[in-house]
Amino acid sequence: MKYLLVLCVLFSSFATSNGFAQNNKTIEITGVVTDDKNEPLVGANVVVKDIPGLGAITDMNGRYKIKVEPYNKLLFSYIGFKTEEVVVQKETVINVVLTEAEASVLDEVVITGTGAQKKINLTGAVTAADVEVLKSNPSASITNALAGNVAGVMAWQRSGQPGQNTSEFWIRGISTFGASTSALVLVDGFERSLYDINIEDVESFQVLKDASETAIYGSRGANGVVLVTTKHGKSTKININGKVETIYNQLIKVPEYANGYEYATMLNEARITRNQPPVYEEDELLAIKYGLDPDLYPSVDWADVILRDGAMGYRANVNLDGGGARARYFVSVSYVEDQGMYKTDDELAKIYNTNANARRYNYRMNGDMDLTQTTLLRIGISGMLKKVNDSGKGTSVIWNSLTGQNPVQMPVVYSNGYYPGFNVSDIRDNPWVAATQTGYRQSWTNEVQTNVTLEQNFDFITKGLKFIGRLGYDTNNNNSIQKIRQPERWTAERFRDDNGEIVFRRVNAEQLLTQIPGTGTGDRREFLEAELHYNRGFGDHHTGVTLKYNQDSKVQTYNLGTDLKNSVPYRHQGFAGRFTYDWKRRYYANFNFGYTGSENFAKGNQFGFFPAVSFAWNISEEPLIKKRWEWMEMLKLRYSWGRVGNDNVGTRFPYLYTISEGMSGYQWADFDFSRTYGGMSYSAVASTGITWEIATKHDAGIDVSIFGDKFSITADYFNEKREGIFMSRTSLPWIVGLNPGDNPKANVGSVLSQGADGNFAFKQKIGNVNITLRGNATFSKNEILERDEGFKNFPYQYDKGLRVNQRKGYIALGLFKDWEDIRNSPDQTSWGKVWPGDIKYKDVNGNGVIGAEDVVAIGATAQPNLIYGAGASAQWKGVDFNIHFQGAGKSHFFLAGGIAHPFSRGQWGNVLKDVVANRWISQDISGDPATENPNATYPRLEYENVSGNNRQSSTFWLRDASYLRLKTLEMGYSLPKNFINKFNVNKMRLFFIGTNVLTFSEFKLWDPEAGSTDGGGYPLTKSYTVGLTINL
Amino acid sequence: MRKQRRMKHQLSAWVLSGLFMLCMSACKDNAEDTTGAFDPSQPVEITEFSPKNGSFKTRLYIYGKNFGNDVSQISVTIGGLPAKVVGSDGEIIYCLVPKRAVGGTIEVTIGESANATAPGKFQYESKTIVSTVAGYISPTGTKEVKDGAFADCGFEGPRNLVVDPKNKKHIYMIDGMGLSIRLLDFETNTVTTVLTRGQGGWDNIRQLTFTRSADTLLIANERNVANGLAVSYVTRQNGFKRPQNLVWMQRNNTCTIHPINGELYYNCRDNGNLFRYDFGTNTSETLYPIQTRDCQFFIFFHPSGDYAYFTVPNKKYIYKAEYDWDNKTLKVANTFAGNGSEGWQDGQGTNARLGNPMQGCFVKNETYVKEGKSDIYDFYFADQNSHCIRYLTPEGFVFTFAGRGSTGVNSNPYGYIDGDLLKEARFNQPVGITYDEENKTFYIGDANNSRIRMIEMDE
Repeated sequence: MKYLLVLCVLFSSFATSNGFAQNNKTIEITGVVTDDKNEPLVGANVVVKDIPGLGAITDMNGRYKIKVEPYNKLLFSYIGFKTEEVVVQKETVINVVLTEAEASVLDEVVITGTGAQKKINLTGAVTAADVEVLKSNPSASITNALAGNVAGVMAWQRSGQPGQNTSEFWIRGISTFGASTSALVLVDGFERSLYDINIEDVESFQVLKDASETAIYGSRGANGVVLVTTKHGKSTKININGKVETIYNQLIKVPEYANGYEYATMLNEARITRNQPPVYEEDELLAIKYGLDPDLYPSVDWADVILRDGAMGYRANVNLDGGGARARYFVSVSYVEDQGMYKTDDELAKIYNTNANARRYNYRMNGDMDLTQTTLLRIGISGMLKKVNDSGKGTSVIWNSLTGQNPVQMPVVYSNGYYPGFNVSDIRDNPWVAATQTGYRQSWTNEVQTNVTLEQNFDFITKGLKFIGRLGYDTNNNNSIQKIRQPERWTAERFRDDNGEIVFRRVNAEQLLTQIPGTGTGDRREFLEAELHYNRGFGDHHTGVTLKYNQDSKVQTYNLGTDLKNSVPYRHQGFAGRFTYDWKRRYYANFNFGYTGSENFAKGNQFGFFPAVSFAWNISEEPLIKKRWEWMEMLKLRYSWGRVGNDNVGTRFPYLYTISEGMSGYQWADFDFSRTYGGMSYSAVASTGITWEIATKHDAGIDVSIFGDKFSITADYFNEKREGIFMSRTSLPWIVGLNPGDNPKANVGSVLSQGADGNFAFKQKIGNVNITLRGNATFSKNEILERDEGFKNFPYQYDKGLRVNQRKGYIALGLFKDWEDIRNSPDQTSWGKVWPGDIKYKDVNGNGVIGAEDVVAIGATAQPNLIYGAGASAQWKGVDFNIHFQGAGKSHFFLAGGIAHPFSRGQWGNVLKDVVANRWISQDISGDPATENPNATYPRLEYENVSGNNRQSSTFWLRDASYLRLKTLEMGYSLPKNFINKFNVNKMRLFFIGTNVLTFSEFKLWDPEAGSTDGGGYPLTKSYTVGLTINL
Repeated sequence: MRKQRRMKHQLSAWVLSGLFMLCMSACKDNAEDTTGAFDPSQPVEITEFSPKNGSFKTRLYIYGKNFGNDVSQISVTIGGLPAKVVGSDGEIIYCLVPKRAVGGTIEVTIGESANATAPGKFQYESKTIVSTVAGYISPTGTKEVKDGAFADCGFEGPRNLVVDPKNKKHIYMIDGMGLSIRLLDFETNTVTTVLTRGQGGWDNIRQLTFTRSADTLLIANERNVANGLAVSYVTRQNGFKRPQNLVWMQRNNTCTIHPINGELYYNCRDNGNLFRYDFGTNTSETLYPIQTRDCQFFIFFHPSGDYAYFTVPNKKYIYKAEYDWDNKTLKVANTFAGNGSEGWQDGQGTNARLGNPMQGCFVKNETYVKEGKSDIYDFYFADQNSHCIRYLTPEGFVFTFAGRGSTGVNSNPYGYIDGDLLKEARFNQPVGITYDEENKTFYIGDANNSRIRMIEMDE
């Protein structure tokens, strides 16, 4: 139905475009459009300049027919060819030869903070992502396409849940442990969310990486900046693009758990092996094994019960653009739907949906108007509505229950129809009941964004002078509702009564569908920017000056409560400038600065000056090179230095103290009475000197393009020292009189971060086949130089010298072989008695006792420190093929929780299939000495004892989260022009995309990207997409 | 134009149908599983059963062929008694051994006629088990206080129990938080309400005790006002029907008679004071306080009268006080078991932890008799918050006797499960316990299960 709708829109708009009345004064012009080899061009555009909507398309023979008034201009255009303009006089036949446009690297344009620049003139580090490549990821969020596609961006997707399936990303990795690590994202110039933008609206996607590009953002540019611009109309006849995609999603990997019999025998083993009585008698195991009592001795595969094999997703998009010379428009509508993986109750599904799904509608209208010859007014309005659905108890409870609910505790439903389960408020539940019987919850997000831009060209005053003013106004809000129902839940006693019947106890009474309103969030943002550009060349000298003033405010609009702080807007103000100079496009020198401020800090600490300089030497422009090595199209060396800040410290007004009432006071009453009066005290201490973090950044880069852009490479080395990192003083002694949590904050930390990023592309045409190979990589490593940590006994205990968020734990030396081994090893009784088969740790400090001082840094961080991607694409006539691999490395995580440590939470927690085969088993139980394997993957089983010896973080549980995956596999077929032109269709492409099709990783239990310690949580998905694009 | 439009629609329809074909994931239901169904044309065979011996509710597996998997069609008898069939996969029947299935012959009948007899006999073994005497509470937790036959009666929550010394078939009990006194009549297997709270002007009936003559029943009442009614009595002569008042004290919990000398002891919860009432002089004297404030306790005399145990639920102790035969009064009481913090831990003296020790009774231990010990009685008591029946030996060891079984499934120690004392049985806040020495049977007031439970050998 959805396609039908989209197609209807497509066709109806097509119909109107053809339905223009034409008067009698016009003359009919015909002709043939050919290329320089005299081949007719099928589907070339012929439009009348400055008359919107009037135009034609050439047919199979390259012929066109158009009615036009004399002395108008006809524009002939075709993708990949230069546009020709012909003035109509008296002739009625106009034949046109279009010449192929030469794609030259020299003409490539990159958007920067102060406007568009030619890539050749760039002195800073900017990655311009190929939007077409990003589009081939059929995920709902553009962020999921960043990893391995955009050099300089580290991205990490944590969840596959519809509505939550976005990626966290960092530009050049993480370089602070205090303030926020996220990049500043600007959509059409203003700070906006990237997560829910419609990817089809994106015209360009740039990542500003070094200080010379981000200095103008001053105290907000330290974590890098993402610039997204949206599409605007061009002066052509109406151009309609439609795209529909149907996506079949599957979970990449759900952890596999032991079945009921395996679980029950291991449960007994876990108890027997530690001298505890078993839970199940031998004869009870028999009933589980043969499924003879599915009420009391079930064996349930919960994942199979509640998860579908796959779920559908849909994307549809229609956009129209066009216009005349005076006014142009771009209009788009899109719809994205992601369905969840939960099965639903057939009866309830008729009334409401309990599945986790997300639907999103986007629209955008960008209009450009030439008010005068020199004045351009741009107005952009866009909006987004997202609805996210989930089951009543919510996805977190469902996955918690899926990993926690063992196969033998309860059946899906008792044979008399009773629902088993836990209490209503318990975060544990019968997964089937939680997923299908507890009602549903919905949340919705609205975003409305408005841009108004006025560009005034002052060429008439002095050549090269231009003013740009921008206004923006956004409102965002989010709200939710829960319609919760609780079925009557029951629990059966362990044994049957004297008559052999099951004894039930009701856990909770039935609660009918009840509405619970959610607490919404919302904000309103206002932006103002004014820019003055002056670009002019004087002979061989080219200069440019840009001055920019900006201010913005963001204020919370929901749930303000009584706290005055909530209603005070976050405000920024700044003045920035850029001075560029080059001589003969050979030697470049740029100076950028930002003088920016934030109201979050005390007066005197609010404004700061952030300078940056950059130089570039375009060697390929040297006459010698130009003469000798013609094929060297570009060879440019770049260097930049600068300082930028990060004011996103998270704490509101850190320079203010808070005094709270209700502290413990004094008892004034006599015996047996109570008259207490509470006191007042500081609940937050003022830290008056707080300000932003400062990053000092160096960047050295090289850009090469040879053989007519056949091969190009860009590589950058970066070095960043972040100082004044915002953190709580931890070294204050108790004598100061503050609780450690209330300690004042200070700008004391320092982190050095360095690394490299780059990308290459290779284009070759072999016969009729166009081949492109491309690759990119980002690597970063950071080191804490300074951190307020207080005194520690051993140097390796300090965070100083380690990576930010580096994993820490004990060094495991395998499993204890026998009692003799335990006696001969350092004392390891910190967590109780150890047994053979328990993990043996290294005594790092050599004091003969294993304890907290033996914890050292092991492994890297949970976030990947290396992200890379490589791919190839080929086109042959109408067929295109694209393959893209993406990988991540240098990331580690600990297996932890009830899944890695079976039975640590008693009988809440499933047992991994992996544990069944690869654990240490006492030979008293197995009867085979070989099972006492000191190199087993899992130690001797243990019941409960959550914080016991084997549950400590150590190298034993450290896993490498590196992975390489076939991220995209795309095949497309464009229908022959001469066929589709019969239906007035300009272009039509059918395609298939496979996403995350294959994953290679040393870690096999679940998908490593999510970094889950226990395999809980909604896994990432792989998808198969079929789609269709139409251009009319 | 029109033609073009139509062709366009055809094209779009073609594309659409293609897309939908791809979308549809064929999902067929699994065909009906017919393996394991009973085949009437084939004989039913029993090859073996396991285990060979056991007691009531033993899980019995019968191996053989062609049983079918429709449990409703399978009937099993052991020693002629019907056994509950729980499951079958066609080759294994899982059933539960019925009570007193001493005959031991195992017969399986499928449907109407097809049957088989197992080779060999099942050896039935008797054992001491927990069972239910009377009371009902629906699975949803609703209960109804109702007099009538044991099979059709209800309780609010049975608490203290006392056996009529002159008719061991009569047990008097307190129901609910001192709401009424009811009679369990094992001659007629019925429950009747004797007195309700209002009839005696009571607030909270706490304890029942027969005097030495066994013709007078003393009733302790807890009333939280100064000089509130503390102990009343009713007589057999009046059919235990006309309550009369005996002593007054704020917040009394107990009433206990010395088994030899016959004087009465009662207390005051507010200050923990113990009082002695002399029937001869009709006077009370204050003896001493147990703890100092808010101390609830109940007193139970050893049959010899040599000493008494004080169960102190809210302080988690059991005290012991020797009897001063010369002055005919209790000596100062000392801590005997428990360490003051709540818990469930068996052990000696202060190593043991108690939940909420409520009513207790002395039970003669035949082993001690054989060993010739001076004190041949163990003290069995209901530990309310530990949900079990425990006993205290003369040497001060606390052991768990019954309850807290069925480990696994859920980690709660409470529940309502009959069966093996420690492996299976569960109680939910047992408060009352009394012992019928002739029949060697314990009766338990299982308050939150609203039932009277029983512990005896299933012979």
